[in-house]
Amino acid sequence: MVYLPSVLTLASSSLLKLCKFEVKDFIVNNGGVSVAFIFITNWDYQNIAPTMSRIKKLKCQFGHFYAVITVSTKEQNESFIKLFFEYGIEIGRPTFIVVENLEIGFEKIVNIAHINGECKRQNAISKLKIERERSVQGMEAFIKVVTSIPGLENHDANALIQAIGSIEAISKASKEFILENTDLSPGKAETIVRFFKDLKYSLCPKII
Amino acid sequence: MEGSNQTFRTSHEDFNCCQWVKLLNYIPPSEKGAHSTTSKASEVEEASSLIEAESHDPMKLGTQFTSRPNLVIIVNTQNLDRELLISRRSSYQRILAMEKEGVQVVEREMPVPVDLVFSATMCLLWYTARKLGMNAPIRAESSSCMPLCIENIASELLMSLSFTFSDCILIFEGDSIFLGAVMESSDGLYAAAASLNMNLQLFFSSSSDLTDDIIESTIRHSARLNKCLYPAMLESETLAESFLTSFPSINPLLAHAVLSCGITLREFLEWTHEQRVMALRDYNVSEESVLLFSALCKYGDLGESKSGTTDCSSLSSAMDTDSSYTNRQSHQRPEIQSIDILEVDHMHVMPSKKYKAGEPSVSLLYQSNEGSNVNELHKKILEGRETKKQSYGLVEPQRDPRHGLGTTLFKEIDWGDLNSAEDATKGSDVYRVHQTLSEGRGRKSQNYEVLKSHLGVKQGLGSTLLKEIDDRARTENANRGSHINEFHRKSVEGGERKEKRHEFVKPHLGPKQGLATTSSKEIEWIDLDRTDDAHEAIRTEVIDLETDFFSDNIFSPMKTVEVFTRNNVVKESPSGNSNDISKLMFDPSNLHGFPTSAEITCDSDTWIPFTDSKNLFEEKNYKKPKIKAVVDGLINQHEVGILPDSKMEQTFLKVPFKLPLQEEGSSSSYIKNSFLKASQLPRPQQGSPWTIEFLNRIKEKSKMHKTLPLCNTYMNSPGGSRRIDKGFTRKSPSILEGYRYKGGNQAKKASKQKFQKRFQSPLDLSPREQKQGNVSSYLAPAWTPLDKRARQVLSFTRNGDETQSRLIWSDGAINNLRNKFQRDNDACL
Repeated sequence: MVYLPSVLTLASSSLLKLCKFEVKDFIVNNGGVSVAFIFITNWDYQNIAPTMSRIKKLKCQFGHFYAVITVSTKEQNESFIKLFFEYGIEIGRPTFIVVENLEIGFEKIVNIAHINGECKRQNAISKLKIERERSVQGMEAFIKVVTSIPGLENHDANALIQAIGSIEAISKASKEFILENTDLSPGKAETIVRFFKDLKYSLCPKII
Repeated sequence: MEGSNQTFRTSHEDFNCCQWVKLLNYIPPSEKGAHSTTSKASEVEEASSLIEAESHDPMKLGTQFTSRPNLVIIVNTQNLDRELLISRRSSYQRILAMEKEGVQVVEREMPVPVDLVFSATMCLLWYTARKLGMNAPIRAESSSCMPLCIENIASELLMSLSFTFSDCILIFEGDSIFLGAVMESSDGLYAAAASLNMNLQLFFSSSSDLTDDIIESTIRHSARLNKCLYPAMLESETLAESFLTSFPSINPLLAHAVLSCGITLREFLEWTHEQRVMALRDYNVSEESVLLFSALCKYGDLGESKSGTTDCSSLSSAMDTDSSYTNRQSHQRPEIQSIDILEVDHMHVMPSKKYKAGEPSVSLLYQSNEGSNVNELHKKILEGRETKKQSYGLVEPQRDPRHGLGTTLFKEIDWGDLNSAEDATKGSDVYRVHQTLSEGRGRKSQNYEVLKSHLGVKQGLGSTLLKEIDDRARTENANRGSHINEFHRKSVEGGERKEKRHEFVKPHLGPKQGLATTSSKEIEWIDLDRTDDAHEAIRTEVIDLETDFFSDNIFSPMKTVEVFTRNNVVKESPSGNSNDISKLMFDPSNLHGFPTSAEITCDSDTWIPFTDSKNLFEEKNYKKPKIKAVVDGLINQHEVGILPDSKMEQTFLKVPFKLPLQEEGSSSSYIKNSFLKASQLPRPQQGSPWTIEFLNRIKEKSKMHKTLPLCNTYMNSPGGSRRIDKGFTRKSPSILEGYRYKGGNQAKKASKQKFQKRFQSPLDLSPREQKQGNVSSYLAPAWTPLDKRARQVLSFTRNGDETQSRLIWSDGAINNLRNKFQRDNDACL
């Protein structure tokens, strides 16, 4: 039987063979996005300082930077966690991707490069940002916020948005204006005004 | 918490009146200016008097102006459908023990299922196999379910967290099989994080002790980063905090930061977004969260003319945004399509000739463009996963006959890419090269229609992109053919290294080497003009380049050729003048690259662990290295003998061609997503690849949400029509509604059921694992008593001028302060 490697295994095989050269850095450009990877193939806790120093450098130079680390035993995993906190690595700068073997590590590199390229191509970050902004601008969210003011209920929130408008506007409204334009009771109108203007009142513990 | 209570008491007693007034009147300089410009004089006076009055407020004293704890941690007590960390006694007790070190632990009920919150931007989630829906240890054969679970976390949970958190730590705890499955399936998490612009770090824990260690280390780490950032926080939620946290983008610590500004809610709401950001800057608050807060604060403004896009389908609006963006992009820079024939060859790592152990180097530059190498290889990997049996451990690549299927990957890359370029290159020399290559392989030209459906459906690019490819190919290749030869001619002049490269290529091509060598030559030359564009792209993405890669003579033209050579078909330059391109390509002064190891590595700037250096993060002003280039050692690849043997190549031809199938639930579903397309799909498509299935899923979620009755009762009433068209009727729900965490949706239940069917009893744990304590996560949790709540006092209290007292829970410190305040008031009277 002739052994037939896949692209993956072929590449992984190459990586394995190249381990002796300790070649482990990649810059992948996909769709105009450069993603830098440092592939730590041989985890050696004792001699990690140069690699960490390099990670520190690279993270300043690349917007997209990942460190893929191969840990094949529990001990290695524990030592990685220890190192992570010892060096005070900020979350996501870079993201450390823990894998069990070179093959998965290589997959991760390709996939993440692909992901980042697609993100840019689809303009995903901007779109999701816009989406988030739009999604919070809804009646459901508005009611949830307004009804968190003591004593106010859903129909009060509806009355307020109709007569006064936004939360900002409600916070500025006087008691008289509220009473004039809504069917809220004087007590509720007083509570609203006080809630926004009286720090002492608003810092009272919430009654469960 | 005792320590914290003590802090409240002693600080209150020790501070004299002057200190309080001074502290309470503090307003950040930026806010002072902002406030004075936006407020009337009377309001300023009123505010000043209010602040003065507040100086006697025990709540405020207790909250804001005592000595600050090292760190304030929020522990979520809201048990939705997910077992939280607080329910594990050992872990929670260990967290509480950190109060002795100046950490304040505060319990809050949060609507999102996070376990811990360390700052206004950072949270931690803890997962075990049990929490992912497994009642027993995961088996190797059931690891195929893991992507679905991970997908649920990514699409629902991370999306909901992204409103308020930008940094997220996930801890997965379990046995090696479970952890291995998570590791392999984690692509979806990274994809979601990338598209949500979140920082994500996964930790894998084999025992509860290690989990606790991670949590403890994270707390210490956060304390170092945010030392004394927040004032002490009240144990009980205040009215203002409750109000603020009802905003989707505000978490309790962010609310605490807002309240720590020492201003009323009205004042805070009067500020502009910029003023808010300025005021909260010291608390490391995410600007995105403040932006979302501002957006909701303005929602419903009577003077605001709301566009239909808010109320209409956000998907369609996102589509518009996307299409406009795409159009803009396409106008700015011509889209380059490429065919990558020999990508496997190029995926070989190029060892740096200057490389030494411990001296890292940027050794492989693997670049691609839309729809090319990386994307294709990514797809192959996904497909490859389906066929391989994954074992968890450090293993050599399996040399197994089953991997015969995997060879299709290689074939598909070749043929798929060639096909994708087929139309784009018609009429050009490249196309002829491709044809020659195809014939040399003894294969017929692939059906372009098949290609269309392949690309359009599987990659989710749709017909638009294909049309663009077609159009551009027709227009751009019209004037390309002659220049290709020019490239070829110039490249031949490049020297002997190119020939070596061809020798390197040959063995890879095996039986087709004769033709392939020829074609690779031509394709390489053709590819040259692409390098300029690629360089541009790289330069725009790489940050912090202060360099002169143009000035040095590091680049010989041929070196550059080797580094950036892709077997791509390149289209027109922005100017449309290929002569210009060719000149640029062969002018060393126009070539740039990446830093070499020596340039990046700087011995004088080593990263010192905290054990050696107490404050690592103060060291920020180090000299930035110059970035030059990486062009080393392709020939070494050939020399080190990493080329496959010829038998492998021979077998390629025996493998039937088949279109790659994409794996369900895979990573790029989150990006390739196509929430863009979701709203446009007329109906769920059957039997489609995972991208489409993902879209269907989104669409189903949206439909489910759409059918839910509006909670807006007023609008449903006959009389409430005054502003009925102003944001109340949502023609189509936002996609985010589908993403938002609901504490147990259908998809999760489905996956849970799937897991439960597959998994066996916890007794299946090996005795060794049981002995090691790995069973802990599968056993029923030891529910933690409400330690902090137990310390609280149930007492009667009144809010403001309320006549009726109510029973509330409050912590001892507040009670003491309140009593003292009451006594002071009585004494004054």
